[in-house]
Order: sequence, then structure tokens, then C-alpha cells
Amino acid sequence: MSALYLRVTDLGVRYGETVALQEASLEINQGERLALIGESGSGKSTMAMAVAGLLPRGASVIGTLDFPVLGHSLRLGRDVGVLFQDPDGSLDPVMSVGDQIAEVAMMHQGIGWIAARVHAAELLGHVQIARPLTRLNSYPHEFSGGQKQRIALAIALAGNPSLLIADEPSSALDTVVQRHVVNLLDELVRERGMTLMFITHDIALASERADKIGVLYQGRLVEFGPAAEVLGSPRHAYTRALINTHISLDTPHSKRLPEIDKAGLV
Amino acid sequence: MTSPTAPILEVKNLSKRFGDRGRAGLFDINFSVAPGETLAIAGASGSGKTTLARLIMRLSDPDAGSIHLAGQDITDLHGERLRRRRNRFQMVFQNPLAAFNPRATVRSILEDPLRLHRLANPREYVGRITAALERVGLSANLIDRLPHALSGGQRQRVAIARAIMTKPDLIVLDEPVSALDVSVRARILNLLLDLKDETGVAFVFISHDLAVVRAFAERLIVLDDGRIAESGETETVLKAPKTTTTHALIEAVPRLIV
Amino acid sequence: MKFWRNLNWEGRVGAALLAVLILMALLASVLAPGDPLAISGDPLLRPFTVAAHPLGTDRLGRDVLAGLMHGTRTTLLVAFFSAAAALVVGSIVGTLAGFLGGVGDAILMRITEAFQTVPGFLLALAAISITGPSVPTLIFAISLGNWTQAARVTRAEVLSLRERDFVAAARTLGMHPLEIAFREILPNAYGPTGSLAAISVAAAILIEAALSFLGFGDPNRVTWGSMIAEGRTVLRSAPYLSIVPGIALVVTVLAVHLIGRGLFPSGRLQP
Repeated sequence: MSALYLRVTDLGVRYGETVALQEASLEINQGERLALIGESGSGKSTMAMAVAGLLPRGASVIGTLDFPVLGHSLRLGRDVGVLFQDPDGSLDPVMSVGDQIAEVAMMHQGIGWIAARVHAAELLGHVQIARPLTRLNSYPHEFSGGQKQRIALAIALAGNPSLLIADEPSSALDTVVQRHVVNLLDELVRERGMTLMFITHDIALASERADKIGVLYQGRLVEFGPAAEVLGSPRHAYTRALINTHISLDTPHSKRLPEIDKAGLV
Repeated sequence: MTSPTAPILEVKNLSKRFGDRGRAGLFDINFSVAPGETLAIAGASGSGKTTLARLIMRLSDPDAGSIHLAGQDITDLHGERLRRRRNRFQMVFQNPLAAFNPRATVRSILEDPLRLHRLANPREYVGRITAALERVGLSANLIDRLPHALSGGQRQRVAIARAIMTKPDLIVLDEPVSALDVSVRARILNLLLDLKDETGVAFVFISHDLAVVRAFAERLIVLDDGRIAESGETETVLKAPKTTTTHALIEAVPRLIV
Repeated sequence: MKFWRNLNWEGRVGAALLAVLILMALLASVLAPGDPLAISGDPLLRPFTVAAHPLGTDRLGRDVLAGLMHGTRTTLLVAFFSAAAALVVGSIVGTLAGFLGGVGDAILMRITEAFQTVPGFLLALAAISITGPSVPTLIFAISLGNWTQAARVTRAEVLSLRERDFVAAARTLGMHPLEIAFREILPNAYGPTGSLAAISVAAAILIEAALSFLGFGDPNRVTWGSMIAEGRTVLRSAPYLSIVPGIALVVTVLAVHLIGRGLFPSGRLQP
């Protein structure tokens, strides 16, 4: 049984009058992959940003975050890397990609410039960017959306963090590219023994690659447990609704698609 | 005169070059859409789907080939003559927020088609707008909201309301649910299905998500690098894919593993 | 009131100062009746010495305070109208250039560049010497130098807005290109131009003062520039004659600048 990496106890986040998240508690072990599922506004990103320590200044936070393995609170870049939804937003348009990766490596691994560039080339190779040495000097606009997202992943990994938080990393990409990015994410995390927190609104995407699943609805964690349990015998009506209304290639072709009936939920 | 079974949209030998030094493009595209039919055009990004959508909507001119709407060649229509035909074919865009003037209220957005095509006199606008909002499942008291004050699903409904105002024969939908949460997609798709049943409008549905395509479209064209890789009835193509592109698209759909 | 609440302290100070200045301009005839250019007392009285002339008198015995208050009118009128004219003309030219593209854009931009290469003050000077000085011609002359910035900034915004989906949507609905340019695009291109407003007004104030100083202002009106010019000859013995209107200039430009900061804080281009 691997060690407990993160324990969230009664986490609540408020922006003035608005409650974004309340009474959320969960546990992740080292090396596990947690998928947080919910629609826009459910609080899933809020939870991830709270863990990362990236909430905006106006947020008031209650509850506790414990990192037993680390023994201290998370340091951005060093302990946790974050991958965001918008590939364009994550990359500095006026810096070469090699510099952006190297900068993180230098800052958090304490290595020199040359070593950092070598490391950057290696990382570009790991995220399957072709001809990494040449592309160190390329700028973000020279890459496609999927490539940019993979470069952002390289930047997130450059500090050798133990936790990776991916906030809807593939929602802005088409299904084929999404498949590549998600596969890659999974592979790299496993290889490095990292812990993964993956946020998505797509329960199928979560089901493919999660050890634990948490479901958020209207600011509450309505379901949490091992993936097989949550998907096989869901306890909350919203989880059941998500599973039943999922559109897949295997669902029988009928005239109308099943919808989530919000009125019937708690 | 067009016969009842004449296609509502016909695309013949359509080609357009774009991209870096004209290396990418659409090459020799041929297909037709029957009245009331839903045709899906699927492909990965860069396959040319959006270029094709913009060509059909006459937002840009092709380098070769022709486009026929209800039997009339619209390829060379420009200016006022084109604008007068626009009520017959409309479009719904992928990003609901980007598709609206940020300063325009829902009222103003829905008044535009009525005003531009003189479909009602100004006193009747409110009535027509309220009816359109109800038709897409929205409350009439959203009428003075700005786009940023609506949810993604609400915005897309307003976009659909705008598209149906002129009672078009054809609507091109460019990834209409890709930017929405999965939990909202079913509702929007059902709305579109209902509208199709009621009005007999034809859809050209562009998507990279084959699961959604399967649920929505009778026929399917798969684009790869600007060419048609496969086409046929959706069920047939998906059951027996013949090209690697189609295989990749099928394989890319996330599977719910219970 | 909502306007006041939305301003930060910089904006409030600026707005308060400007309010005082506007009051001065409006009430000049009430608070300092009579012709400010008329001789009303002994010459070269120092400020704060005689109750009837709180800010003293100039070489000819004309009241400084009266001159200051009446001068506010000219300054504010000319500055605001010329800045407004410059912004409006610039926005229209920028929108047309950005939207038309191609040859139309090229022609409009070459014209803009032609105006930009000549310093605004010289343009104003040249215009005034042809038309002769009066308030309307001053407004025209000063706006000649100011409009090009608004044109460039608006054009840049329009170029980026042109590619947006809502413009494509307007086309698919059948909207006429001119309507798209002025109803869909221009209102959304205002942001950066707004922050230019403060700069334009400040520049206009200073150009007007400089023109008056050089004697190219309207000779029938007293302005701060002409007062500073008048004080030149007695600068050593009676510096207050130039300093007092100079301070008024500084305060006005500061007020406009502060309001600009209040409306567009941290240099953001959009409020």
C-alpha cells in the first residue's frame, strides 16, 4: 500500500458571497490518479486550484490540506506542476519553448543554463515533439494546439514535481489530439511515479484512466471512491445521471438522447 | 423547377488552397444534402472541415468548383444579391461566446435577422423574439442580457434561435456542442433534432467527435487532409471503417469503462 | 453617483479638480465681472496684498484672477472639442482602414503617416497662420495633429476584431459591410482609444497654451498662454505673472491625466 500523498479535509472556498466549494474531503495516495468530474461551475477547478495554491486573491479558504509525504505545503513548480486548458494561455508568446522549459528546470532543480537546455531537449522528446534539439528555439506560434499543450506539459514537468494537476487539459483539442495528449500524460505520470489530479467534464475520459474518481456538483463533492466502485455502483443520483446520459459509439441509435434531469437531483 | 427530391445543397469539385504557401487546402470535394437530411462532416483539426463550412456559407470564395443551394448556383454571388439569399442558409458557430457582439443584448441579436430580411415590422419584433426564445427552451426574461451573462448552453440556444429566425432550408453547424460540457450536449442535440422534425430543415453537422455524429447524423463524410476519405451512411461507415483516418477518429472517442 | 463610486482615488481627485475648473469657467462672468482685459487697478500688484486683486495685477493693471478664470473657458473649450474631433475623425479613419483592407487601407494609412511625420504643434501653427486665430480655427488646427494616434490604435483593434466569429456571423446574416464596420466592430474597438482621450486632451491644452504664448491665439480672448507670454518681460521682477497661469496649466493637465488613470487604471486599455 503506497503512502498517503494528499489529504483534503472539509475544504471550502468562497468569493465574497458566492460559495464555490464546500465541505470537500478526499485522500489520494502517492502514485495514484484522481479524476475530478463536474460541469462548469461545479467547483472542480476551484478544488484543483486550491490544492495548487493558485486561487485568486479575493478567495477565502477554510479546511486543511495535508501533504504527509512531503511534510510541508506545496511549492509551485518544485512539488506541483499545473497543466491548464488553454494551450495559448500557458505559453509565453515571445520566449522560445526551449527557454521556457529551461527556465523552470533552472529555477527548481538548481542546474546551470546548459544543463537546463539539455534537459529541455530531453523533455521535448518525452512529450513527442519531433526533432527536439532543433525545436528548442522555436516559438509557440509555430506549433499546433496539440503540440502546444504537450510543450506546456513539458514545462509542468520540468521542475520534477511529485504532483501533476491537469485542469481540463484536452477540452480545447479535437478527439484525436485529445487521445494523444491524455495517453501521453498517463504514460509520463506512471513512468515518474507521480501523483495525478485530472479535472474533466467527460466521465468517459475519466473512467479510462483513473484509480479514484470524485464527482462535483454545485460546489459539493457528491461522490468519491475507487473508480470501479464509483462507476459500477454509484451512490449519488448525479453520478448515475452522468453515466446514463453519456453519448458513446456503443449506445444504441435512437431518436432522442437521454438528458440529465436536474430537478430530480438533490 | 426543382423536383421534390432535388438536393438542398450540392457541392461540386470544390477546391481551395490556404495555409503556408498554399500547401494545405480542400481538394475536389463532391457531395449533396437532401432536404431535411443531416449530413455530418468529420475530421481532425487541419482536415479542412472549417474551411469547407466557410465556403458553403460563402464567407470565402473557392478556387475551383461550385456550390448550389436549392438548385441555384451561389458560387459567384456577391454583395446585395448574395445578402438577399442569406435567409435560406444559416450557420451556428463553435464558440458561442465569440459568435456574438459582446455589446449586443439577446434582443438585439435576435432582431438582426428580422430587420435585415424584413420579416416583420418593428412592433412585432418582441413577439417574434419571445416566441423564438421559447422555441429553444429559454425564458423570455433573458431578452436584455448580454452574452457574457449567459451560460454556454444558453448562448448556444440563442445562436440556434438566431439561425432559425429566417426559417432557412439549411443550417451549417460548426462543432456546435464541442465547446459545451458533456452534460449539456444532449439537450442541445435534442433541441436540434426537434427543430429538424418540426421544420424539415437540413443540417450540415461538422464535428470531430464521432459519438456525437453517430447520435445525430444519417450520413457521414470523413475528411482527411482536405480530401474525402470515406462517405456513406453513418452506421455503415462506423461499423466497417475503411481508412486509417476513420479508425483513428473512432479510436479517439473516450469509452466509458464501467 | 455610480460614476463616482466606480473611480479609484486618482480618478476622484482628477474629477474633483476638473469640476472646480469647469465651475470656474462657467462662473467667470459672475465671480469676476467685466472685461478681463480691461484695466482695473494699479499695475504689478503682488498676489495676496490687495483684497480687490487676490492674485495681483499685470503690467497694465489687469486683474490676474479675472484673467485666470476667463482663460479657463477658452482652454477647456478648445482642449475638449479638439480632442473630441481628433478622436472621432481618427476612429472613423481607423475603422475604415482596418475594415476595408487592401488599397483603401493603404491609402488611408499613407495619409495618416503623412500627418504623423509633422509634429502636432507645427501642424497647428501652420493651420493657424493660414486661417487666422479664433476659437473654431484653433479647435481645427489642434485636432490636425492629434487624430493620427486614434486612427492607428482603432485600426489595430479593428484588424483583430475582423477575424472574430461574430463578424462572420453578421455576414452570414446578411448585414451590409458598412453596418458591420460601424455597428459591430467600431463600438468594440473603443477601448484603447478611450485611454488616448486623456492624452489627447492634455496635448491639446498644451498646444493651445503654446500657440497663445507665441501670439497665435485669439487676440480678443485672454488665455493662460497669453498671460504667461505677457509675464515674460517682467519675469525677474514679477514672476508670479507667469507662474500663476503656469500652475493653472499644470493642474488642468494633471486633472485630465488623473481622470484618465481613474477610468483606465493600471494602464489597461479596456475599462
